[in-house]
Amino acid sequence: MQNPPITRQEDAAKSRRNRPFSPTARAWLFLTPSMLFLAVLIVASLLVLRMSVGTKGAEWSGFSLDSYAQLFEPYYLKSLLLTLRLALISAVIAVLLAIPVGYTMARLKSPLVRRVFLAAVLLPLLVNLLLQSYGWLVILGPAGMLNQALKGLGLITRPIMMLYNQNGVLMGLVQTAFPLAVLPIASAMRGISRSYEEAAATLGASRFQVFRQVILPMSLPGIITGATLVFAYNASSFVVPLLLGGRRVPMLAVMVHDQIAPLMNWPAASAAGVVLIVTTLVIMTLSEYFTGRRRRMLEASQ
Amino acid sequence: MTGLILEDVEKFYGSACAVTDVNLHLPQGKLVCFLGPSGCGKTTLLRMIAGLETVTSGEIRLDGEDVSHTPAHERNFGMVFQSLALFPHMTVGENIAYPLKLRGVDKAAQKARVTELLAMIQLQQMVDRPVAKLSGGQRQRVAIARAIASHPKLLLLDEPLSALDAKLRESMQVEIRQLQKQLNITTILVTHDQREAMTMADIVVVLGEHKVQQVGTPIEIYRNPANAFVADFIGSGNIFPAKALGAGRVVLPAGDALDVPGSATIEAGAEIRMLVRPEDLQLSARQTPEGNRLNGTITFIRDVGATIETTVDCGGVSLTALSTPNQSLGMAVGQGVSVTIPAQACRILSA
Amino acid sequence: MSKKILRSQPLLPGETGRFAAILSAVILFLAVTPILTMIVMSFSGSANLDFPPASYSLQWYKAAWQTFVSPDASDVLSLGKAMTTSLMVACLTMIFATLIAVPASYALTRCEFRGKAFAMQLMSLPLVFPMVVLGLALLLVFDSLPLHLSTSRLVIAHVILALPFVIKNCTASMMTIGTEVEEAAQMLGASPTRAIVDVAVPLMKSGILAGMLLAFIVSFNEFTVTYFLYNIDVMTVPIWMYSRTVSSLDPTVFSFAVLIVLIDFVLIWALEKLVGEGGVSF
Repeated sequence: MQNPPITRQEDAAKSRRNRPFSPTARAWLFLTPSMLFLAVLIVASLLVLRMSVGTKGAEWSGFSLDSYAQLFEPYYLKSLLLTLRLALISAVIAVLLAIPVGYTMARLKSPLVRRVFLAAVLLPLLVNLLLQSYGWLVILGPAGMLNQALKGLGLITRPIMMLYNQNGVLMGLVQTAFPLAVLPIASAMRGISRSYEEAAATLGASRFQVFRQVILPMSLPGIITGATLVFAYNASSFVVPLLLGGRRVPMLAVMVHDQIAPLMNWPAASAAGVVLIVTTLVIMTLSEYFTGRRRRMLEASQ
Repeated sequence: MTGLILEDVEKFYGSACAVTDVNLHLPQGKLVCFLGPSGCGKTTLLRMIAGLETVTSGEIRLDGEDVSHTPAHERNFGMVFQSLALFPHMTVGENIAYPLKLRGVDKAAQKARVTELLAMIQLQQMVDRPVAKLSGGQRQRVAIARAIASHPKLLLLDEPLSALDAKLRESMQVEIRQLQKQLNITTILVTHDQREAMTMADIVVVLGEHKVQQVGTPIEIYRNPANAFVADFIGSGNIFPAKALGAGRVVLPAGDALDVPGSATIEAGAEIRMLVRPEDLQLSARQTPEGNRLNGTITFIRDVGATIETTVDCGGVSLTALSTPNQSLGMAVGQGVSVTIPAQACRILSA
Repeated sequence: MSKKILRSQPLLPGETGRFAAILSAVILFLAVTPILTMIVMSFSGSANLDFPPASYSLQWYKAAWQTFVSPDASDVLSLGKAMTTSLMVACLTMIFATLIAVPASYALTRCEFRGKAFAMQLMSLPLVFPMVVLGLALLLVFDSLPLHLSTSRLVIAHVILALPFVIKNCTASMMTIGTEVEEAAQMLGASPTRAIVDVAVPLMKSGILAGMLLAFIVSFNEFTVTYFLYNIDVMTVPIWMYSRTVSSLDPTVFSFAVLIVLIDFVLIWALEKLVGEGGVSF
């Protein structure tokens, strides 16, 4: 060999004493800052947990399970069941609506339309609900456009109450959490190679059959993720039941807030909060279990 | 001693063995091919030499120095990956200059070396071309240029030609071989294509079932395969069972007897496996069988223009003979034909 | 002579069907109805909530501009101050969230280590963690600390909320870059860290930027947790708007809302441009 290899000056000495960083150590090093922030979340949860077994007046020193006992009273149980029910229904509806939207978004070609779609999908999630609720009020309220139109057409005499009840809240829940379902579904569908659809078509499947028998099953992990996100997000929804439910739809998060202001009952608020956290974690774990299995199955066959 | 030495090298992932019992001495300046089917451990072995995988046990020494525990970025080995791994966000010139930049080479010297390499690979005008705008063959050459930019002691190629179409692959094989000889750099090339190995290698290391099956020059391995695995993998072969009769004769399952001098040392009654290369078989019009001539019926003819492969069924044993169009007897499937197996063309394989 | 048969081409498999496209458009239209209503209302010529408005005018925009330029004596906090706070908090959130998310997503995609699945789950937690509880808990934490943080409280809370978005985007981006380019850089002499900086990060650029934008958007619009943590000196735009409407509905607020929607729209537009075909990941 004519030319000696070009090396750095320090290389020769370095190679002897150099030991590579263990990959696990390096991974955790990279994760540390994020973990710190998430640790705040965990510490916060633990604090709430501690607070929930305190007593009013002696929040940190006292210990009692009264707050939890209080949760079994009919008022709270009703609230819990209501919360779970609304969260579940909103998740189902949101997912059903999100599937066609997600499919369209996944297969869109024109960049302009894609951007409009993305904006239309994300805005309901982001824009302050206070303002959106005024938007709903103006259309669906007792003196709103829809009622006035129906009155004008002679179809009704008294206005239909579409807001300030469970239906109004449900609608608000679906509308604001809908983006949380669309994005995972769109993402999953985007990942389904077009060749599966083409193969199914050559085997004789109509477009609808292809959708039902190929695309839907393959995007199931995305659908479950979307449903989970909507459920968990809506179970702890605060602003929607507050603004669109009048005083008649006491979802759990509203309970939590009520215990703080005006009741100043931190332990009770915390207990309700703990129930919310536990519900969320259970749903997330179950969902991850199901989607994990499904995803592994899909990956293995590719 | 110079060259690359692998001593008792093995790699386990947990309890799963990737490769074991590897003992190799690869002399300096030679092109060595690691040849084998997928999953045999050849890429793992290459990556261990590169430093991208840890060695479970054993030693890797280059020119007497133990590099088994040196991190990859300090070994100064050039490597071309299967996907080429050219940096998409850099131009051709920046890609090639990267190893030089890392080593603190000054700008002028970098430019000179890049120009020199581009001339070597005949892409002088491409210095500022973004990588995405190159053709497959051009990318190949840039990847190689980048790998040798810092005058590495070893060049490693992991199935570099697998993404190219057949014609381009053949011309690149020749180019790489010529470049290697010109630079006189020790090179290891991993491939599953035995034709590639035969074309390019000074030494072929046949790997199978996580072990080294045979090491030798391409022709050695072709003519004297160590076992059935190697015989089957290199070239096409007619491999069939037989029983030794002693005194240099064997008998085929259908009862035909052959003279095989190589079987003289095998005790009578032993079951053996025989190898005959297609080009050694001689076809002729059907005659009475005598000596090493068998009769059979043609079952398949593969005429690829330059050669004709005729498959004949001789008493249950399927033999394929290779001939050129000039030697063709103009036969068709279903016809009777005689096949002569020259005694010295027979190889006896250990299982 | 050949006649061209003018007939619509049959839809190829894999293309969006008309049915799906129209259905989606309808659904999305319904989803943004309140926002569209709000936009229309901001141009209303009357002072009531009639819809559709009897007349149109820019009066509310003029009123809004007034608020912006000359802060009222009774209006303790002008929109200007709230906007500054919002922008600052959003920018800080964007920077910090990205700084900690990029190494985290590298670790999650490249490294195999024990507890990886658990770590990935943990990263999605802020997305679904009950915001009311988070607000409550953070309030407890910050109030019990001897330090008096104000803006930092908001930034910390917003970073926690934005983290899942940024990490998911960065991980999606990382997964499209194979490991071979980094290995190639190492073989050429770059230490593992140098390989990341020289190769992985530049290739991840659009994913990182998309994550940054998402973090900004999330922070800028955040209400619930901020509601627990704000005080009179440190108020963000969503809180400011809420405080203005809590007593009486002033249609001026609609014009502010339109401004916010416009900002959001532009940011989302930019986001999509960056992410392109790959889509925003959640």
